[in-house]
Amino acid sequence: MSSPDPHERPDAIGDEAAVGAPTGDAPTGARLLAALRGRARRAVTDAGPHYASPEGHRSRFPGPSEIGLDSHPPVESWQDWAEARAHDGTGRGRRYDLVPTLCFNCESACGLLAYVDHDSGAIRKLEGNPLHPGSRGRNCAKGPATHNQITDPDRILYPMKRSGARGEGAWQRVSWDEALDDIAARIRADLRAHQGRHVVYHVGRPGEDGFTSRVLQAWGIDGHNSHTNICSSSARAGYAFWMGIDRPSPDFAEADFILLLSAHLETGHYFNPHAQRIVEAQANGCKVAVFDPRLSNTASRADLWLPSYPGSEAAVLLAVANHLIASGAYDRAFVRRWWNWEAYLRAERPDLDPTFEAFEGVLAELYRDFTFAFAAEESGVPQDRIETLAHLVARAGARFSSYNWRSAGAGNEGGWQVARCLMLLHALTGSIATPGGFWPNTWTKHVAPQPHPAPGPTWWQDLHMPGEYPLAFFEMSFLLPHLLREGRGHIDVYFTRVYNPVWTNPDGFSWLEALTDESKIGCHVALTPTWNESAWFADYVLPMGHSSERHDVQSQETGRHQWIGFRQPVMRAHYERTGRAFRDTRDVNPGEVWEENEFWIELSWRIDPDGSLGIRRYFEAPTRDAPAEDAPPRKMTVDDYYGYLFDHGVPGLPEAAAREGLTPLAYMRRYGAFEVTAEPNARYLEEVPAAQLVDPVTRDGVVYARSGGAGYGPAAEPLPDGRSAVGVDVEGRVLRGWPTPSGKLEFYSPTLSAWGWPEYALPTYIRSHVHKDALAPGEVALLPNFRLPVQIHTRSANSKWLDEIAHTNPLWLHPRRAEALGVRTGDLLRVTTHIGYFVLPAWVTEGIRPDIVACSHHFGRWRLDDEGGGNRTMSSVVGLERSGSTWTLRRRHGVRPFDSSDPDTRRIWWSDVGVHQNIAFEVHPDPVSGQHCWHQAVTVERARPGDRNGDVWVDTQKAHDSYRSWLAKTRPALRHSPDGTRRPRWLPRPLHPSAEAYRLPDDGSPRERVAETDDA
Amino acid sequence: MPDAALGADALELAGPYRLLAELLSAEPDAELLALAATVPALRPHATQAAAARHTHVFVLNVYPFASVFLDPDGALDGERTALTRGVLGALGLRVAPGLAADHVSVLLDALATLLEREAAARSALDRDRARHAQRVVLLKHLLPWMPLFLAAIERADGALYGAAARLAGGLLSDHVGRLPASSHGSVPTWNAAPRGPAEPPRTERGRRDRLGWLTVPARSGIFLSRSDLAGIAGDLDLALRFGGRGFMVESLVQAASQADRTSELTDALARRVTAQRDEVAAWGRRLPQARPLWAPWLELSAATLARLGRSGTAHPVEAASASPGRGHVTGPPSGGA
Repeated sequence: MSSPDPHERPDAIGDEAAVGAPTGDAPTGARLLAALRGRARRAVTDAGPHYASPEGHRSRFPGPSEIGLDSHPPVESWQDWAEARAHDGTGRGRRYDLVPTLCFNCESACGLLAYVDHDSGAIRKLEGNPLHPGSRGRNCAKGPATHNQITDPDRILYPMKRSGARGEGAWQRVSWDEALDDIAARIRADLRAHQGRHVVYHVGRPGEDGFTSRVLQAWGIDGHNSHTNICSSSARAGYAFWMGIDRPSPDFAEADFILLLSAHLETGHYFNPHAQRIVEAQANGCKVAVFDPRLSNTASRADLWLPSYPGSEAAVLLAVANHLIASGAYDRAFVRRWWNWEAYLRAERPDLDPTFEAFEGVLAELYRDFTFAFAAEESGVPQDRIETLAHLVARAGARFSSYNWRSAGAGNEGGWQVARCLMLLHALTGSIATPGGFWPNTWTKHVAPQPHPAPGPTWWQDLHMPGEYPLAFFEMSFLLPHLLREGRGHIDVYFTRVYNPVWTNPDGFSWLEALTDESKIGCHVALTPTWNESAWFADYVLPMGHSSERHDVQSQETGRHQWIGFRQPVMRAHYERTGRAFRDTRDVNPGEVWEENEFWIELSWRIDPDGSLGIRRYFEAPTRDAPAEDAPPRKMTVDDYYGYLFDHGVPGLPEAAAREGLTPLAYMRRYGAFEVTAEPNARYLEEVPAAQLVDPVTRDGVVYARSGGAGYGPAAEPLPDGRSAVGVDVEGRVLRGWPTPSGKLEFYSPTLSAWGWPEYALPTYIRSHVHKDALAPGEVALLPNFRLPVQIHTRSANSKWLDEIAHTNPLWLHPRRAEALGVRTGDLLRVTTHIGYFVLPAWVTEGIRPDIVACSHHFGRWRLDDEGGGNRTMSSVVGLERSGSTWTLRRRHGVRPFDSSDPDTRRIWWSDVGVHQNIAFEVHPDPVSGQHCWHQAVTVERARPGDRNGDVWVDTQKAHDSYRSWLAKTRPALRHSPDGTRRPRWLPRPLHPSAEAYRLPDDGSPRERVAETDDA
Repeated sequence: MPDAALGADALELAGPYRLLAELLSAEPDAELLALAATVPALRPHATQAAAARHTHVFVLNVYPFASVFLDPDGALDGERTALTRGVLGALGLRVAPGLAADHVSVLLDALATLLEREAAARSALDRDRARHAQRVVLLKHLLPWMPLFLAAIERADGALYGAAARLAGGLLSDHVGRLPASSHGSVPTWNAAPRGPAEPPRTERGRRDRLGWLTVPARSGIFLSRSDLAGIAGDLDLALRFGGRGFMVESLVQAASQADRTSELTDALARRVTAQRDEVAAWGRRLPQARPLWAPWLELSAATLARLGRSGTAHPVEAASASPGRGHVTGPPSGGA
């Protein structure tokens, strides 16, 4: 046996006495080498060194790469970082100031590090910020491509005002002052006369946590309109009805089994921070299953691929639930403590003893019909794979994690039940707020409280939240053209903020009709960094900053931790560090590009210059809840705002900053992100402190007390005697519970039952509008809502690197279908929807179910003007023709090389940039969640004579008829509200109107009556 | 040692590294033995008779591949083999066709080559690059498994290869000490079953497979060669059937059970675990700057002792087959995903 210490080697060659010793006869190492050199066999030969980073070995941030590819500059060198220059020859290298910011492409808020060249003052590149707790220095393609966006030769650099008819394409440059004064005057007039009921802010992905909502609340308007219901309404509804929190936050890294209803390793929100954690889990033996009718890159990396027919996902999930229940493989203690089973028995089964055992008996009955065989029949997935799925879920227990956001939920009518059924599996296995399980996002995301917040609006915007959709998540924004067409109101100032409704929404021609009708939309202000299909139909186009040109705070649920990230204008930070003067971000950004924060502050001051509207005070410094009375009002600066936020709203940050001798704001400017906690609490298990239990009473398990104001806790309305809900009684202990009316996980939703949907009060399976039984003869389901890895909706179209990689969206179809049609890859097809058709090439692939077709979005961007009005690297030039209610969009030419400030635009080799399919889609508002159900029932045929690639034809009257037929599925508040309100107050909503605003008017006016009226 | 000195004596390490690479790669010829005989540490054993032990040591007992020690399934030609080839390629090192890149000889020769590159560097930048590459190979690909590997050689052979193992240990320690201190700011780690007890691979079935983890270093924290198992059998006077190591462990357990000596077998295994754990701990004391590299071994061996019931908490050998619970009711095992 060897000695305990392997290094006692008196005779080793490394010793002075043995090797190289002047007196010994032993060879030196060099002599040994020489002697060995002649031998024939060598294990390794030197092909020469090549490294990504010569400094890699000094990095504090070693990653999986061992060759320097992932190394990051050490923080202490950020302000003066030297890098060797390729092919330079001088060896001098380039010196950089490294400034952290956040990516602004998808919603992940990954950390970026901008490399500002000390000599030229230009941003040379953007790489990952290794200190960012979510992305950890790693980025997807879209992060570094930010550099394309800031140097995009087609970007908008100055405020523009239209000088001809709307959409005509005649623009004149105006000053910021002129634009601001004009817009402010319109808003002021509407605020004075109509409480601002005709001012609307329509936002795409916000990329920020609370600043703009605070602005709207300060204006007192219910004017927030979001893109949510073309995106995540279904998922939100499914989760919120269970737990009062509308977003999942998987702890992938520690999971034993991950179920993805998404292509989450390659695309989607949070895919970069999530994918890296999924991969880590896989390296630790975690199994992954993927639902996807396409063989996505994610599915190809999974252990189990479930190519389910679109819309059948809930049936499969319920078969898994049935297995867990029938085999007893569920966490009985968790179910007994945390489900609202008592409420279910009281409401639905009063005939039974109110015992848990009785409930378990019922539970086994409820899902008995969801057999593996049924799920296999419904989904087309082989039964043994579904059984395997069930076993994997059962075995993972509390370490079962999942993700579901847009795909299945957003595709199908009733898709919100997908999230509800998925959550059922977590609620059965107890994999909620556990390591490796599923977390509600509010516990793993840190939103700093706003300084001096304004109360919510006192009125209700029916154009956004119409009475037919009292449970929608949230605003029915994609119906706006139809609501306007029905005469439900008009808009005087319509802000589209980094949002392109004409292109992004279904039924874009109805949007064009609304945007070109000045009686419906008085003034359209497009806040955008780049031209797009909607901005072309604006009155003002105001240039906003990209990722490296704006301030925001943002936090996202990327794992079992909590962090906050800080987006900042990079050149502003560089100016500060190098002592250069500036007034606002317009001085440091390209052209007159402004950031939104300063824009909104300035606009608010101009709306209320003397403070008489009560708005200005929310935009004064010092930013304190109670501004000093005698101090003269001063306009709030971004430093005031974020200084306050970081001083008061981020636990632990002031202390961390103090340890480095920095203010919290300076800390964030330097590092770009802060981890609030690496160990978030499972808040539902927190004990309510005795101090908050003054004179408590318990009603149906909810504990009410006079202390009130406890913050987190059940979302039950206060008792008439003034006691408010503080927690739930769980086997004798008072715990915080869940923010639902019962304080429990609502397996049974009294809300759904009371608001007209009793048949959906339990997790169940709703057949999709593209279920095979719902298709007309010859129709097939089209999946139009999947992403490709490097693009993100329309926002990334101004990135030449990304466009070069991905720029077309042919129709995926299986060889069997292709054979039946007699087409091959590249042949043109005509796809006919219920309101029109579009023409595109075929892509024949076995990576899709034979009984569906699919077409990715992102593509089919267009512009009307040869010289501009869109990104010339990614948009075709088209002609639009209107004849009554019919529209034709025809491609004049595709992308071509062009001269610009960027020599790469001469090197463009691609021309086809896809077809605009969304514009040929009717609206499909889910009657419960309000989600636009993206999947379409279509017919596919060979292109007809005269059809050309990219052609679109649509009849907007048919589109409106479709809208009316889907509207007829709703159960309006006026008829179904159990308590005379427009919407359950406990359901989330972006803005928070007063209690009074929730009351339905006595005259029956909101707008459900128009369901019976003719078109306006 | 100041940085500048490293380049000057880089070749002093490179020579013996290359000699060891050749000695460990195949049974040596007379020329190589003659060269080995010039090294004092090897001289007494540099005979053809000693060299004939090569097959016994490296083919039958101590597999000289990183994948055996570090991969979760402990198999030859595993993930690590491909990974190592890629990494060496990215560092500008071409592995001879037909060789597994994670063979100890390849890695030692890679270090020799990088030290030569360092000695030939014309600028500080080139020298730093070469050192970075050495650090990657040394810390990430070689040192993690060296404590178990070298000790196993010493157990299997008291002559030439045991001496070579001791020599290698010394060279590697010197090399760590000579890399610039800033290189140790962070020590890369490898993924040794990073959480929880050393549970059996999930694809394994049945009693025999459930004991297979004992022979997988990345799950048990120890390396048991056939001669180690033979030693245990001899000590306990148990019959041992020859075959794959998992099979041999199984036969030992059966023999012990029939002889009613299960407890003694457990004790013997626990002694092996403890001895190997002490080997690893000694490396950590000797090279504190690289200690995190070996922490997984200590965690794994502690978990193995617990599963053997020799850390005062769990059950004896038979319980090694019990699946670690998670406090949940679980369903039937997977149908295989």
